[in-house]
Amino acid sequence: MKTFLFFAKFSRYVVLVFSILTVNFLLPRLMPGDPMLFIFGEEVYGAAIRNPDLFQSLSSKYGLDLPLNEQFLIYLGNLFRGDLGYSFSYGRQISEIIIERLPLTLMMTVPSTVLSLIIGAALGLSLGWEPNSIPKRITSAACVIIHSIPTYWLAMLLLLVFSLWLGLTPIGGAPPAGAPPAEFVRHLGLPVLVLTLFNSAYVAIIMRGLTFEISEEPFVTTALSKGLSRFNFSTRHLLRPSLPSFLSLAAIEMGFAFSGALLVEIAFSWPGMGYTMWQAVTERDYPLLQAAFTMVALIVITANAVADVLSYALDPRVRLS
Amino acid sequence: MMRSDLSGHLTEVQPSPGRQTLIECREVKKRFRYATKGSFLAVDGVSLSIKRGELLAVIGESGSGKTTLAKIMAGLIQPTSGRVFFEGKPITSLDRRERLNFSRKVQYIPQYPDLALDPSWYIYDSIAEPLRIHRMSSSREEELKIVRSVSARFGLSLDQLRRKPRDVSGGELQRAVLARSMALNPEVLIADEPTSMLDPSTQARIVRLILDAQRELGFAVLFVTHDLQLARVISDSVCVMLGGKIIEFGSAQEIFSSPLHPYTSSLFSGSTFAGETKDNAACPFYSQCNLRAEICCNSTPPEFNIGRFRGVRCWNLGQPH
Amino acid sequence: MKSVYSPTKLETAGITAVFAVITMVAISFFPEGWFASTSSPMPYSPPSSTNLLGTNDIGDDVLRVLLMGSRVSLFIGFLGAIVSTVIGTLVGIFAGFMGGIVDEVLGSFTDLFLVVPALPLMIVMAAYLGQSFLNVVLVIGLLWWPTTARLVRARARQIRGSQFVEGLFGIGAGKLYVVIRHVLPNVWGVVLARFVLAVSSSILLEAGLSFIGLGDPQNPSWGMMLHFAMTRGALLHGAWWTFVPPGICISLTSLGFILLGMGMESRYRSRTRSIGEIG
Ligand SMILES: Nc1ncnc2c1ncn2[C@@H]1O[C@H](COP(=O)(O)OP(=O)(O)OP(=O)(O)O)[C@@H](O)[C@H]1O
Ligand SMILES: [Mg+2]
Repeated sequence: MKTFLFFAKFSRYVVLVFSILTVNFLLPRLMPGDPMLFIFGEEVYGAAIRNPDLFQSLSSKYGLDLPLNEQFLIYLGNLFRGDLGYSFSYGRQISEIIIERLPLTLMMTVPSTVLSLIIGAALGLSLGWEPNSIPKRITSAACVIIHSIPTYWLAMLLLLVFSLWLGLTPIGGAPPAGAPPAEFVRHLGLPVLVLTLFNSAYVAIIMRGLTFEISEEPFVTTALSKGLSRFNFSTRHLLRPSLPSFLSLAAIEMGFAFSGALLVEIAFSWPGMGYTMWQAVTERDYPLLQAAFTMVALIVITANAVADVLSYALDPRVRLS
Repeated sequence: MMRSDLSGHLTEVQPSPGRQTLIECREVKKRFRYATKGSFLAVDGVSLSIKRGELLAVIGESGSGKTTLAKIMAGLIQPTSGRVFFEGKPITSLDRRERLNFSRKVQYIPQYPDLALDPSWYIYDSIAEPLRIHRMSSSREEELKIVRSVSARFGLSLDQLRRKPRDVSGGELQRAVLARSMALNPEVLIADEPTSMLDPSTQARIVRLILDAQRELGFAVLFVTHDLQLARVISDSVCVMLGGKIIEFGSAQEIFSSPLHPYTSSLFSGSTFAGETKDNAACPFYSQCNLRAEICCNSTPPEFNIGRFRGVRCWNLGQPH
Repeated sequence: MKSVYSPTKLETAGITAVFAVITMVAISFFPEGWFASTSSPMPYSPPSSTNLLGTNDIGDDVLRVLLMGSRVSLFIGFLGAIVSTVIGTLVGIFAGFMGGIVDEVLGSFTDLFLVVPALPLMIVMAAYLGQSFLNVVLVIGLLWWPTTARLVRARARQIRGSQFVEGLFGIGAGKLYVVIRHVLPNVWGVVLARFVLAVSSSILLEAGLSFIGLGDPQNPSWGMMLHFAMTRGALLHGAWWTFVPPGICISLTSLGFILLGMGMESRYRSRTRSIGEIG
């Protein structure tokens, strides 16, 4: 039963990845207009229209004259070989661009996600426990306020103050690949700060709600009356029981963190996935846009699957059966 | 209520003009299945009939299956096996019109009044709702008249009708639920512990109201209760349930003056006896019975009929040891 | 749940912010000369008595653009929220009330949908559909319903399993009747609170889409102002007056609706605590 449930849970993610690939495949082909435009991007399409030979060779390479189901197989085959197509706005293989830029996005999102999970959880835990004192109320309100500020706008403000006015940080961009780590830290300071601020506020709001709900349960009163210390109490009776739901929420929050990071990257001209998507949108480079989206979606889905497995392993109710 | 000739062991009771059977269930069983695994047999082969105008009490301890039986009789849940008849026809094969007729003539009052009415509706509308569903009033004025008269019968003022369920007391709500079930002028009232949530004096008042209404309107009542004194005072006949079975039934007078089943007598005397517990003994009373024998553990006692309306499921009465 | 904030204070703050935006929208309908100077050839001129909030890269009065943008942002916020709330409510009620296999399928579909990162998907969809007002509304509305659906579904399930619904079937009520007359009024509180929160999300999402350059160029919104500030060098010019005001407006509006929605949610929760325990 246990393993069955486990696989049932896991197969959902496989289905999800498959659906995303299907949507990706169908989008350019079912949109009104010539699918060639969407599959090759505006630039190439323009060239191909003028050059029938190029048109022919391109459309046969992608099998655009074949029925949809055969096209789909070709599409999947290309994907599994790591062939994401060619970006004409960059004049490079898309897979190369992604391999080069994905680490840059992770450099920004991973530290800020880890930091905000720790800060947010600790903050939320303390905010949810006896939440009615004045400082706690003010902090909770601050979290809500921070959460409704667009991250990229905050990024612009910080750039204005720290880079333009004070000249403390670089105005944007990334250091070249071989640059010393300190250089990366200098560039990443502000973006990570923005994302951490925003995401910890969000995590804190969630954690506060969970803690508050648990603190109302009768077993908490019993535990306190037994004379447990505050620290022991909060780790054992507040953190432990809320951990599974916290994990799954944290995974969903990873999705938000990524969405936020995409826009923050644009503000800092940090050439990660978000910046790439932005450029793809500007250049109407549809293949690149899709590839970047697929990567982001895959990462977020994987994070969710991992969180699911973890919370499954941690949930006492599941372990019982 | 019983005629005095106890001679014939008639299996089929002849319907006498004033006492025709309204609802009857034959050998119904209800098994609840749980999502995880396993199942529970809440009602285990019960046959019972409600005759026109009578007041039949079902008594039994908590978990003995009283509510489940009552809901089956009211057509709210489907039995796993066995059938329920309404005016001689199985309720699963009623056509639309007959089904409506059934839902008009048989009214069910749930165990917890605070969950019986839609919390977002005014009590007035909830009482009028059955009339609207069955199109029993041609105009708003007529509806108001009927609602007024049924509410007045149970001592509810128009002011109370203009409130929502959360704004009246438990006793008032119970009366509102009663008024609602009376609005359609039913022939059978199935009341599931209608007084268990109330204080003794309110209990007495509500029971009084039901009895008065019954005397005046002549409907039959299936009264589920675990209050022995109450059952003794109000009922014509009594069924005693234990472990999903009716272990004894008969006229109220007979049951209370000379209980036959050891469980029934222990209920009245309040004496208990604890022997070794056996998990799946055939007789549900086995482990607490001071008269038990080997056979009680191994095979289910059949129903031994004594007289026309008296039966008991106990080996002691069928087979002298 | 008892709210940490006293609901009245919370809602007052929210309502104040919302009213401020509505006032902006109202002012934007006055003749142009009333609220901003219409002619100012100088790009990037700082705030002055003629241009209260200065001018942008093409010499447009920032206050004027800001007021006109309030219409677009608020309108898209509402329309996107309406579409997503209607879809979410229909899916949620249908799944929660039908139960069984329908619920299984719709429920896991909703859960799966929640996992897909919404903004990137919206970006892709919007890029394909092209830049127009309606497309932004559609993209937000069609992709932002799962949270609503999930909450409504949970509530509808609770109601479906409650005693009074069982009783209603007992007195001969039909399914459609019960859904319309009893389930809807009882999920209404959730739906309304979700709607208000969805307005906040829609405004933020629209701003994000416009910031990345997918907004309707004919109807520039606040997010579009940030987009132009970013791409046309206002930030590098240090022309803070072109991007500080729209950012404040976006934050305040979304905060206003969030506060309002949270207030409604906590109020609703404390009111229905007892029903919550039915199922
Ligand atoms: N919907 C259900 N699903 C699973 N089990 C149920 C369900 N309803 C009742 N049961 C089980 O069936 C048994 C009989 O329940 P029932 O409600 O009929 O008892 P009761 O005699 O009315 O008790 P009480 O006097 O406490 O109301 C109980 O053990 C209960 O746990
Ligand atoms: Mg009961």
